[in-house]
Amino acid sequence: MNEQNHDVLPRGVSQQEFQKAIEAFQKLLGDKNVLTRPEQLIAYTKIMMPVDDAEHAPSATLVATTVKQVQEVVKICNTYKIPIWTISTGRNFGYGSAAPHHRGQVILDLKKMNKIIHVDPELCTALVEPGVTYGQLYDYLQENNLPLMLSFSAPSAIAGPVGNTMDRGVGYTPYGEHFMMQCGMELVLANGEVLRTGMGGVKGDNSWQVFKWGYGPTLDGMFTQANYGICTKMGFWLMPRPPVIKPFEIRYEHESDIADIVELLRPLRITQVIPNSVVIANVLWEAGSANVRRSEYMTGRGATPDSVLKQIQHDKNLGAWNVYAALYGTQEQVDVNWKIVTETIKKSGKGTIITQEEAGDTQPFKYRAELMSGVPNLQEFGLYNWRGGGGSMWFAPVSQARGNECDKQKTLAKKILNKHGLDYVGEFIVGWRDMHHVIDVLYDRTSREETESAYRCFHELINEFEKEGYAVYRVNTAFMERVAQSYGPVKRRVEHAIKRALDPNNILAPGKSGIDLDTFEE
Amino acid sequence: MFFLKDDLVVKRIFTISMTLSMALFILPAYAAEEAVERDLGNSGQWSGGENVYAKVCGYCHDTGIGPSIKGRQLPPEYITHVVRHGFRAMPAFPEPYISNEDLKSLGQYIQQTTPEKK
Repeated sequence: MNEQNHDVLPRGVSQQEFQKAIEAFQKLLGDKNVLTRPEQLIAYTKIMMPVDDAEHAPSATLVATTVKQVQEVVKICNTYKIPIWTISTGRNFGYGSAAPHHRGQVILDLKKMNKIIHVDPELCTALVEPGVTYGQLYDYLQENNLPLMLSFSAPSAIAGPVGNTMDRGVGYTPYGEHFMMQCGMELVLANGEVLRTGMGGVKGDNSWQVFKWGYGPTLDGMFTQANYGICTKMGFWLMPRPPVIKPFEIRYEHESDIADIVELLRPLRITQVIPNSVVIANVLWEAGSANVRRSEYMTGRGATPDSVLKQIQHDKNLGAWNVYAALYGTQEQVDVNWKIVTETIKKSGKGTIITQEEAGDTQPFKYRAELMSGVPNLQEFGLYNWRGGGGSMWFAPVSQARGNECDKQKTLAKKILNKHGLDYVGEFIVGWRDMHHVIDVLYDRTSREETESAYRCFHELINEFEKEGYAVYRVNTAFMERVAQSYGPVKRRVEHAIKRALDPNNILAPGKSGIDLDTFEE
Repeated sequence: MFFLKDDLVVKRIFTISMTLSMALFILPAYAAEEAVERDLGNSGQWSGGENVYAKVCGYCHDTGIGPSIKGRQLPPEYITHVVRHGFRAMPAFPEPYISNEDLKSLGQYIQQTTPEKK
């Protein structure tokens, strides 16, 4: 490619100005760390959303390895008005993957900043750089025989704690609400300054990873799902690995059981009898994760009929709903809580308990047990084979942990998905008082017809849920502006006031969560 | 059930205590301002194609999620293409994630493997 003639440019930046910026980046980072050739950028354009790849094509990628380099990068960006989209491991599948919010943004790839800076086995804390993966951290704990365990999302082996936590992702252990377990951030601001949150700014302090709040306003939250700074270090808490972990499943026969399940589980979860982020997964989620393909049961497009779902449930020995939870502690503690759980289930008159001894190495129990025990795997990617074709978007509305609310959301989502010829593939991840209702909108991205249906479907899901007072907690880059509207005008004005104060040139990830000084209208 | 036997627990606690004692003896008190560029090891660098396969590819290609790619004499150029472009649901991996050198080593490793025993 002629370096004077870039195929893709940032919004409002000329060829000449962009080339000057590229030369400044090359001088700073070295030529090999400024990727501009199409064959170097192609990996960043692989998306799962139902929009054209070209809409999310980057103009270049910068590979930084030190905080100092990141500081210098933002200075160059300010000079030439270059917008950068920062990624840590770029494994945000179903939310935009590694691609930027919109065409032309320069990716700042921090994968090579992958140092595990500090792990304290007594205080059970860690401090890592953005490129560290959960797999890398897991290996570190194993190799050093540290009795600590990780909590991670399903793409555990190849994704990382900084990216997941900064996007407020969740996992499946008692530490599953990851942002709640975050403690101390280091951020490069748009003006090049380095901010450490919490206790991190105190000279000589050693409490950065143990005390979250520091003094005055606690700032960490405003940097998550946001574009006010670039996280270059993050601290978080690790759970001590208990002597006993007892994963188990409760299987329910009928789709209509969801309300009773939630009512049954909520007291156990709030009282911490069951301490982890319990999952209530529907039949298709579990079938997909166990490598069942739709093509084994039917051909042609359209929603999978309930009769087929029942057949799969029967053939694969699954429930219409499958609850996964675990108990943690000493044998005595686990025994006490196991008695409470089993008696509660028995008293309810429905639900079949399956223990690890009964399930053995069968999927999906095995990978669920591993996720609840801090052992990485990628088994849940089996979901992508249900329809095939590489299309996936997470629709993730928040719900109260109430049976009638979950039933209402499930019914509404299934109706809309089926109307567009798609399937309800959903799970509820139980927080203390909330539910992350996570629905994988799976479609065949090689089919233009199904891709267009998926796009329309996602819009309708947002619209119809909004009418009922529901909103998603996180969304892919193609729908960020739309979802920001759900949260009201005052929040948006405040967000943009902060953006103007901290990043007046709008260089940090414009468009993230709908925050973009160029396009926002009061 | 995951069960750590008592003697293992004792051994681990002893090992950790020793490690900690030594660490405290050698290192100054940990402070936020010192949290720079230190690397405890396991630096995230791949140690060859087999390592990349085990830590990335194998999670899907040895478990029935992706097709088996061992023992098929797949040319390294094909592996390179799929890793960089992705394929349907398979994600793409850019250079900072898997370098050109590691990708070459990965391709050679996969080409030389024998089929997995069923």
